[in-house]
Amino acid sequence: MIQRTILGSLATALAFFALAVLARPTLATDTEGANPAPAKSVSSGDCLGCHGTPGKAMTLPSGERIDAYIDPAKFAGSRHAGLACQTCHADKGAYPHPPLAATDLRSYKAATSSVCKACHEASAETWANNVHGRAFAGGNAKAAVCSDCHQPHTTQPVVQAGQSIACIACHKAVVESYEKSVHGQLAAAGRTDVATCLSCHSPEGKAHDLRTSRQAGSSTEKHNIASTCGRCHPAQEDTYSRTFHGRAMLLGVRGAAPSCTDCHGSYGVQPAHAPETPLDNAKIAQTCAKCHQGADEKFAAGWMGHEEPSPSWFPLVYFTERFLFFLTAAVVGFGVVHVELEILRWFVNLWQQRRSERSASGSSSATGEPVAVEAER
Amino acid sequence: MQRYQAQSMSAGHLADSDKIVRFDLHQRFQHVLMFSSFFVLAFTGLPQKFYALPISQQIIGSLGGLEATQNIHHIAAFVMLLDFFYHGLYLAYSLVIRRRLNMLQMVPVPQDFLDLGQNFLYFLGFTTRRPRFRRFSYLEKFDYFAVSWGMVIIGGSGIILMFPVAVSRMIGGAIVPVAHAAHSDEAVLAVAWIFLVHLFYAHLAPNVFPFNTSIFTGVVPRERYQEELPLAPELAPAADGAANPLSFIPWLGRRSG
Repeated sequence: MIQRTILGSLATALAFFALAVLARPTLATDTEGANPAPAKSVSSGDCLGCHGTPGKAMTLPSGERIDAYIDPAKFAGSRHAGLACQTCHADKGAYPHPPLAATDLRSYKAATSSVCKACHEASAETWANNVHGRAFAGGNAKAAVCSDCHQPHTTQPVVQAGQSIACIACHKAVVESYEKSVHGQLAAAGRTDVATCLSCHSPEGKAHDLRTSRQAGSSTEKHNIASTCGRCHPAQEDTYSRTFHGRAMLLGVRGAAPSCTDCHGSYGVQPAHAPETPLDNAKIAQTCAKCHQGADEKFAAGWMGHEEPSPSWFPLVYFTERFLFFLTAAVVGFGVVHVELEILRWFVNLWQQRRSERSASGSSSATGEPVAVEAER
Repeated sequence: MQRYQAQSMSAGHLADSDKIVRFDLHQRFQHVLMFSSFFVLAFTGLPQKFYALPISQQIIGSLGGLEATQNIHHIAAFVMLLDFFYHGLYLAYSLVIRRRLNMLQMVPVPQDFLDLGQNFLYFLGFTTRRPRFRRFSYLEKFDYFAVSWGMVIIGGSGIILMFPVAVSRMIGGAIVPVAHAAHSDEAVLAVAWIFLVHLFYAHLAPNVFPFNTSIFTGVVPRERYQEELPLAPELAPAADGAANPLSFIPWLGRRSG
């Protein structure tokens, strides 16, 4: 009994706190007349009077539950704190609320998400063309809409390294695979600079541009994978681009050559080897054999990985390259000097010949006309 | 220059006594196979080495993509290797059966280095006499053996790159990246030499400009031969050349003064 009283007064206090925080922006919105409120208007503070109570929920005709509880403190800290409830929930301007048009959770989410584009026009347009938006337009009710990933009442980041990942709601298997990967492990350990879902699927500057790897221009389309991974691993992208594989990817049939994920895996990517253990050729051979039929340990021994040849790493390659560089410089240098001197000598001979002809004709016709000789030149 | 040009252009109309047959039909055919496959290989290979250049990507695109380019490259390589073996058989037949020992004059001798030195002295104006070459000048010898060396290095590494798994099983995988490095680096050397030096002396040099037909017709005007290769056996009286065909090798025969 006492407990309930304490909880009740606590909720009331929170509601008042929220009212104090929200009063100013709400009034500002109203005086601007941007969203003329219905006659029997209720303010955001009124809403929290009911919806600020934990456990507030309603049941849809489908039997699914909608959690209608808004944490006033979290809402106050959200980016949407300055907005009146009716900005998004225009149909909730009066109490009692009119009955919901939606009969199940998916159609309810679709309906509430349709209002976001009023402010987030660009994002909504990008979404409409991404894998979720296209699936939604194609009639797939399961396709993610705004509120599946974004919590409008808290506006916390969708994907935060080491935090909960919205994607898991639908993409359970791959997220679990990710959590076991080197990326996921580091994220769980508190690193904030490791790849999360969006690092690859919606890289910086391409928010909402989620596409499948089969969609043209996708950051995970096969020939774009190297540059996507290269955002964090530029040295490896650089060495890859110089290998047979990288060149074939650039010049060959699109998607025919292997990219990063063909050898390293994607969601469950693990380091090629532990820092202190050398590369295991038998293990590499299994990867090679995915494309190179019959590849064995001996074949794998020729794989330089992402290292440049050096006197200690594949010295034969290193010294072959050095030798041929100096051989080419020496041979071509010699040849060019030879040709240049040949040409030079020819011109000098020509000049000397002309000069002797001129002096010969000049001496033979010493009393003649030197003008004619000049003209002859 | 015009005098030379008129000479080279009219080689076909010279009387037999004014011409020297320098290349027989086999040699001419071998050269056609060699340079045609060489140009195809360079045209399809260089864009693969310099893959990042827009022009390379345009060339490969216009040939139908990387796979098509590689197919053309492999066919041309096959022609060149065939030509290499053709030449080997021809050489063995000519030397062993037909005893055309003059061919051995292609072997480099110490005199070549003296000729080279004298040529540079001539270029720089320290002497007015050009070196007097035998049947092959040192540059021609270099051309010939550079091709042989190139065939072994580029052809060998090319085969390794075509069959990396099988070759790895036979001699170990470490050879594959070596072949990858050697194949195109050596090819760049070959292309640079051919375009900068060989084509200059074959077609652009003043005495042959603009086009030296002798590798196609086999015929060189005697006068030009006299000028370029004054000690060639064809120019010597018949008895002299036949007496000791190996006289050009100092330790095998007396040098004729």
